[in-house]
Amino acid sequence: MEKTASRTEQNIETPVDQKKYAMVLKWSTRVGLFFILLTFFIYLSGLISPVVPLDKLPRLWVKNSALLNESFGIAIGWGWVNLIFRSDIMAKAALTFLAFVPILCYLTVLPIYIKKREFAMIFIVILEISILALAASGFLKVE
Amino acid sequence: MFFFFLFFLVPHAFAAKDIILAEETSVGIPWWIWPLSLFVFCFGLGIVAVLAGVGGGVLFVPILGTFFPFHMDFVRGAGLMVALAGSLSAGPGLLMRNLASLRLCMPMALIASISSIMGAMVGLALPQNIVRISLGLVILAICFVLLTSKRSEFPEITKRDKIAQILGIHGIYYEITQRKNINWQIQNSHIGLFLFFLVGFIAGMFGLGAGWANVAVFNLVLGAPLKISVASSNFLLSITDTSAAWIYLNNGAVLPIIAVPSVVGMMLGSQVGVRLLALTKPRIVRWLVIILLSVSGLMSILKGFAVI
Repeated sequence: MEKTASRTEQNIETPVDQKKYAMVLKWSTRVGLFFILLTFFIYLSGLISPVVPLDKLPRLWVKNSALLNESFGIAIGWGWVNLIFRSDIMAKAALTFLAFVPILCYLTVLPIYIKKREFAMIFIVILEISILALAASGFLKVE
Repeated sequence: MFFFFLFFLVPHAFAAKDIILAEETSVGIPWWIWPLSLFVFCFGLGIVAVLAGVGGGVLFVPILGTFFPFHMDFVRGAGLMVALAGSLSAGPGLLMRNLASLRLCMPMALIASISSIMGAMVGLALPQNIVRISLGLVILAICFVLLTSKRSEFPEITKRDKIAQILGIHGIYYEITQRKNINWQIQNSHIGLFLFFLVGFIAGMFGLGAGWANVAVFNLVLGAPLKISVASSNFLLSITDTSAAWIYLNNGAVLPIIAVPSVVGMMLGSQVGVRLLALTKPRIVRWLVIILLSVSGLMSILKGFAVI
């Protein structure tokens, strides 16, 4: 019975777009999580100095994000990239990579829909990539 | 007039006092205690979330916002990263086993992404006390949904709607309890799209994962089988939370010292939770979570009014 069941399960083919999306998702998430742990270790170990000293954080994290960033001259949007060689910003960059993962996945499946001439799906994928890119661009700032 | 007073005047009057109190709580304690306690707390939360069948994100923000001294900006930023990391990790397995459907999620994710960006921007622009009060109200509403919502294992679909037909939204998966393949399709896509807009806005505004609502919309409105609904809801979060997460990241509201221990703790806790699932009574845990959420919701409202 078990064998029949697993044979039946094997008969279900995972759609090619879904399979490709899953592969990119799997590997990019693993890479992202590895870098999150690595950069966080560097941050806590003090090997590289952070922009915001760790011992000052308890006074700062009670204030809103705008005040904290202003106090240390961290620009909003992508301005923080200029400080990439500081340990806390490296850890932030690793977290940011996770937010890139869905964009990567969408870019991977787009050629499949183009090849199949699935215009509705092409439209949805391009629109989603544009929205994620807009959100990622840093143009949408909250003053 | 009453609502104007409730939401705009009272919170402003108490905002300064709130910051001073939080600063006093936070400053006397060495910095390293906080990431450590976050890790332990999120490890426990990860176990409870799996046992109760709710996403970790919905527990994280109200509880952390109430019991830890961090500003709500950073709590919501970390909450989104927690929900994002969890759904990104679970996504590949769910997609490969045909439990989450890419075609089902993509149109819903598009709508929810737009609204979650809007929600995130509104959430970051509002004063902390208003966010706390509205979060408390939303959490109490979620408790009500958790208490009253019914689920249907295999909803009956009479006719696929136009949107589902055009986008080819249907699928097949292996149902292990029945040892057979189940074909599924959906209906009411237009209503589903509208509801996902609302859910996305709330998720973005409060940094909550939206599994509590996604499953209900997939299952009860669109008519997807329960397993497909749960898996697709989990996968959907990886896209909608990303759009809101970008807003928080770009506005400097994600602090690694809060987000990383939370993400790691929650992921490890979820792994333990899965192993404990067979040994516990999920109903009791579910009740505990509802009680815990209700207390956090009420405390969030009281904190918003600076009563505590």
